[in-house]
Amino acid sequence: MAFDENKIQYDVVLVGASTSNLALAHRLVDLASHSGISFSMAILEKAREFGGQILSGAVTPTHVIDKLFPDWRETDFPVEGVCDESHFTVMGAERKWDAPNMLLPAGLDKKGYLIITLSQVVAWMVDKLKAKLQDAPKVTVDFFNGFAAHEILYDNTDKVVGVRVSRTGIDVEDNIYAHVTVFGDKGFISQDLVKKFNLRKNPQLWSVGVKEVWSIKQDLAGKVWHTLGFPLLDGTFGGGFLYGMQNNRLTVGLVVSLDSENPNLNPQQLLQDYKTHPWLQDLLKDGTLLKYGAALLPEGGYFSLPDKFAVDGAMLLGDALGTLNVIKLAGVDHAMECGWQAAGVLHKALQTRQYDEATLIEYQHNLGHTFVMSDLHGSRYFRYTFQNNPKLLKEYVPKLARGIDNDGHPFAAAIGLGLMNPIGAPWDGLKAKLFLDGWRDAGFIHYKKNYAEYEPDYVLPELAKYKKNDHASKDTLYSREDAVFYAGTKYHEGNDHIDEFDADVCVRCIDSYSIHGKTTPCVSDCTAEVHRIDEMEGRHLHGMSLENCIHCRTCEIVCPQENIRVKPTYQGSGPDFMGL
Amino acid sequence: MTNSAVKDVFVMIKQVPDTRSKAGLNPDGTINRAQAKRMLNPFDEYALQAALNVKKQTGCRVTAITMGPPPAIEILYTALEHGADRCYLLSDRRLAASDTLATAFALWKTIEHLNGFQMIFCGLQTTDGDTAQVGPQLAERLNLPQVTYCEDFEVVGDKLHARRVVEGGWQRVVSELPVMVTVANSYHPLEFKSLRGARMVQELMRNEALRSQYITTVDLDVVGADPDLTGLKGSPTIVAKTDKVGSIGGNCAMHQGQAVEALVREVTLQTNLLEFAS
Amino acid sequence: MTDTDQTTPPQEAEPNKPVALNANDPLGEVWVFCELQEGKVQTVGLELLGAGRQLADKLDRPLAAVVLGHNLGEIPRQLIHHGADKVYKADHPDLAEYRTLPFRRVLCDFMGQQAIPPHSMLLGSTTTGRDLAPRIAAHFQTGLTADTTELDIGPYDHKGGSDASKIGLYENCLYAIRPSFGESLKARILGPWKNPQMATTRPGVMIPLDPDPSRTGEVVDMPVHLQPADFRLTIAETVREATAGVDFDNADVIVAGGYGLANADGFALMKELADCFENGTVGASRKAVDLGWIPYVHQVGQTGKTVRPKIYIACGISGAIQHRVGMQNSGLIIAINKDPDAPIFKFADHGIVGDLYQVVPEMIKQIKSSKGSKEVSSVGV
Ligand SMILES: Cc1cc2nc3c(=O)[nH]c(=O)nc-3n(C[C@H](O)[C@H](O)[C@H](O)COP(=O)(O)OP(=O)(O)OC[C@H]3O[C@@H](n4cnc5c(N)ncnc54)[C@H](O)[C@@H]3O)c2cc1C
Ligand SMILES: Nc1ncnc2c1ncn2[C@@H]1O[C@H](COP(=O)(O)O)[C@@H](O)[C@H]1O
Repeated sequence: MAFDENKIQYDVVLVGASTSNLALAHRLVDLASHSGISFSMAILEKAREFGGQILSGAVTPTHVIDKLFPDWRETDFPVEGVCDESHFTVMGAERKWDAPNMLLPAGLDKKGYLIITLSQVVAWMVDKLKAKLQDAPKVTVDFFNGFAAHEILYDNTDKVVGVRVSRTGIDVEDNIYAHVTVFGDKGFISQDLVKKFNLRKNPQLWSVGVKEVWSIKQDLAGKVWHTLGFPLLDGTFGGGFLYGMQNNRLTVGLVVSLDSENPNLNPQQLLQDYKTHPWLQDLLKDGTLLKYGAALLPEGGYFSLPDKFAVDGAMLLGDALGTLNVIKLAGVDHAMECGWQAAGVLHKALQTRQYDEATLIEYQHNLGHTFVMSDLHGSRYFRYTFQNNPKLLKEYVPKLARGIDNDGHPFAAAIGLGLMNPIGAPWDGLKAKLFLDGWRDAGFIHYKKNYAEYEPDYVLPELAKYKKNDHASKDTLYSREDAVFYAGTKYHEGNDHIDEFDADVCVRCIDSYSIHGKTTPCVSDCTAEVHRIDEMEGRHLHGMSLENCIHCRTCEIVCPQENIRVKPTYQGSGPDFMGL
Repeated sequence: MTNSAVKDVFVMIKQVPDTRSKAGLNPDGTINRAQAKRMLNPFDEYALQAALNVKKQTGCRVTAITMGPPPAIEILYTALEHGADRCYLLSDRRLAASDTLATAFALWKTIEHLNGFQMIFCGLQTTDGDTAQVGPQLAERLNLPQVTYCEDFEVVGDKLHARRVVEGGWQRVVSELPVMVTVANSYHPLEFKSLRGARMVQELMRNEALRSQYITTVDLDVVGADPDLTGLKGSPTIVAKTDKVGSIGGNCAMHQGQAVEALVREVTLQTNLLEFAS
Repeated sequence: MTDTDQTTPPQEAEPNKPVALNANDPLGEVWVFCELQEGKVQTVGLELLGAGRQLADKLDRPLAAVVLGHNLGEIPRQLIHHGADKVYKADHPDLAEYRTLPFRRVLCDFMGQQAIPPHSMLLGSTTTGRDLAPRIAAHFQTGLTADTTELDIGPYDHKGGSDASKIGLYENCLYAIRPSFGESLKARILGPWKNPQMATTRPGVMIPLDPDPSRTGEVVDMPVHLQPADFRLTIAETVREATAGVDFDNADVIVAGGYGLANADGFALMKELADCFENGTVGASRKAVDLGWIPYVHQVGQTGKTVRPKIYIACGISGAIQHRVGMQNSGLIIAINKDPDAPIFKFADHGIVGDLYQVVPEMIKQIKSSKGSKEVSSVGV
């Protein structure tokens, strides 16, 4: 019997039952069914349940879903709503202003897009895949939920030959070998591969998205708001989103870029501030919080892409590669397209039994001809422009916000700033500037690491300050500690899944911030009450409550000392994002 | 190992509504059975681990037994993933609405049908029935000694040395085999499924012939149980009525803004705190 | 014993016959099993006598206490003082400590000999009651309801169901009421078709009667005929020490400390307050445990123990939901917290806004000074 052989070997191993990898799996099984080839594949997912540790917005166009599942509309594909109202809203602390559609920058009108709960879509994709396999007798797929890939295995020629799945790596059962290992793991462990082969010339820029799902009194299904301004008035890149879903549910979220100057962002609390806005208060009135969670978004885009999307025996997909388009907040269709393209190349590789880089790299070539790459290329200077012109976020946005609070619309403020169109202007301004300055041809842009701008003595600018709305209902606001409960974490003692490399480094880091009355970024920015400062005999030590961790990896990104690494857990430990 | 007195252990497991996730609960807290996900009774996880630990110690065969509708096969897969050797599913529509007595009767018949064991492990209780009765009722039918609330044990020769919880402490007992043990949740938690087990189960799900080597489905006729003594007919109790219980708390009487002495006095006067003073 | 004959049918000859065929005619007695621990009657037995008294009065039948042990001495009389009309006692060296098989032998033999089986039988939901009750119920194939919180007598009209033989109007049924799944529902469980109708009841739920030394009653010996098979299990050692674990289950009052204590020494104060109560113990929130201020066994909450004392005093606990799920079913919640917005005040019954280091010592003082004036009625022997 297959399971009695000694070494555990498959043709393909997918690391992460991700959006991208599951698209790959479906496409590959379809292709194999047509061609009649036989192959074996294992899907490793660190969550106990498929989809259980996936978190997204998510509003997405249907074009990739259409080709992956042509009949999805006739199935039970889980849809929360089809967007029929899309707003771009500028927020003051007290009022808001919905920008007229004509003023909207392209890509922000989401009409016709699907609102989905990605964790559920992923679970659906797994179920559908299982069903599909009933009619594909030559294909064997094993589903390993609750088993993470912990380490990448190489042979002596540096070819990727599989992953370690259990603690030691000594027993036969500890390793899974494959001709091709595909990483759709958001960089969790594939960052090691990128590092080993020095694939990324630029660091990835990361944001963290914090998200809550509420049950509310009204039906907002199909309505989408993206917001700019309050509560992000300190120059930090980011914005809010509200998606109306079926059964009177509402997604409330905030995306906060981690390459801020402000070392103490506390995204989870920013999200609470966001909800104090009278408009949100109204939406959430008498509602109940159902779920909370957080996850990273790779925002570096084009310039953060690795040189190679594949090496001997391995491929990178989706957020692990960095295909999210930050202007549109589009990651889902991009990740799925990666899977679609990778499947085509893998199918060929399986036929020819060639798994070297020369064969697999065709995936990079093919992806280059899709919307994924043209989108990324088209928006390649977007993030950089804000970095390069800090006034946009530090001055323009807070002034607009104030204008709205004062006058109910931003025009006065906009005119004060010398702009005619408060929304289009920055985008047009950007574009114009890019052309004028010749940046369109400026070639490669270098990013700094996320934490590079942190200053322990950072002072919040006057413009960034806002008065907290004391009329906000306490029932709508959650401390970080309470919020964690809604992330449904389940932890198994002994996981020790966050490495702190050198305790003394942490002590010094903590002190360097505390003398300025600040706290160290891992503590302040943690979305889940994991990191803390313990006092012992007069010393401040870095402590962790690992059982609260929701695997967002923000601490790893914001640690100015690169002294923290978040590893995958064993036994499916961690949050339960089902429903997020 | 092979010459241990223990060669076969049975573990009784049940599938219950998933209370860990909120899905499947009606707003009033009752179960929406159509929507509810199902899971292995959390208490039975300890029982399963106990059986697997005996296997580790003695090399015995572990048999998992459940009574439930056909989808209950899922928890048998779980048992196999964790290292059980074979499983039995007692499934029969005539079993519907069995209370604990009727359940124990049907399980007794199944165990008799299998014939031959040295230990039976049960969970302390189920999260849906919540009675902790099935185990001892089974032991009564089988005329076995029992160790309930067992939190640790060891097989020594042909005896079971066990530690059980009692009020305010614990008790060490020695029992002859065969014996029925209900395992407390202070026993070792269920270890994670093994990759090998997970692989095997995937193979079983694909391969019916292989599956039938590991999982046997039986009904009342196969095990020779009188249908009149189980199901609704064989149940001496019925649930006649359910009332909502008002939620507790919610209207906090706040005491503040006075001298501490007055605050505390207010509370001691308005509550029955002093009644409990020693 | 060989491998194959281990599951041979019960060696006992006695048939598992039901005790009565017609449940309500004639009406049997109400039996209450009173368990002993180290030779002393447990409070739960007295509580059940209190509840059983009401049932027996409604049925107009005698209330019998059932007690097994050794050197029972004054115990039967004590049970009569607490409401029993009759005491069935078995006094034998082999019954000195509770063991399933000898106890079930004596009880089942005796019950099986009754011309009129008891109408109902109540036991405590203790490690003993939950061990013994199902054996008796299975032996006589009668109904048993676990963990009841209310008991009553009343009629039941069974109309439908697949079993026509069960249809009918039944007077004088035992209403065994218990929280059902998720604890937000109450279920009334009935089994009028066969006697005894059995139930176990959680300790601390029923109220014992004040002992009345003038009460008299009949004491009947139960025969003890143990068989070799009854000694298949032996007890090597029983250790009962309050310190072995934290006895949350029997605590009337739990005084719990959290992060607001600010340091480990705060728990000395918690203990001092807990010690002011007859049955007080100390609990803690996860944060306090994580910080090493107090051992894990004290942890209340999602990852710790779920408790339901009569009074829960939360000191310096914010009331995070993880903690809340472990204690929200307490009878009365008193919260002490500096922060008037602490979430704990959302679900406490009484909230004191103040510094716990002032409030708790004051509370200790007031409780201690009240003691002098208070009469303590002791229930245990
Ligand atoms: C708050 C937020 C809002 C967003 N909104 C939108 C939106 O509106 N529209 C849109 O198109 N996109 C949106 N995105 C982006 C989009 O969700 C992602 O780009 C997309 O899901 C990435 O897919 P992926 O295949 O790379 O990985 P994912 O689908 O995220 O899956 C990664 C999987 O890998 C698993 N995994 C990781 N490491 C391991 C390991 N070592 N072993 C085993 N398994 C592992 C994880 O558990 C997870 O299941 C949003 C993202 C966030 C965080
Ligand atoms: N349907 C069933 N199938 C198998 N075992 C069961 C079943 N019902 C109860 N049990 C066993 O009896 C124990 C106590 O259940 P309960 O009396 O319902 O609380 C459980 O933990 C199981 O081990």
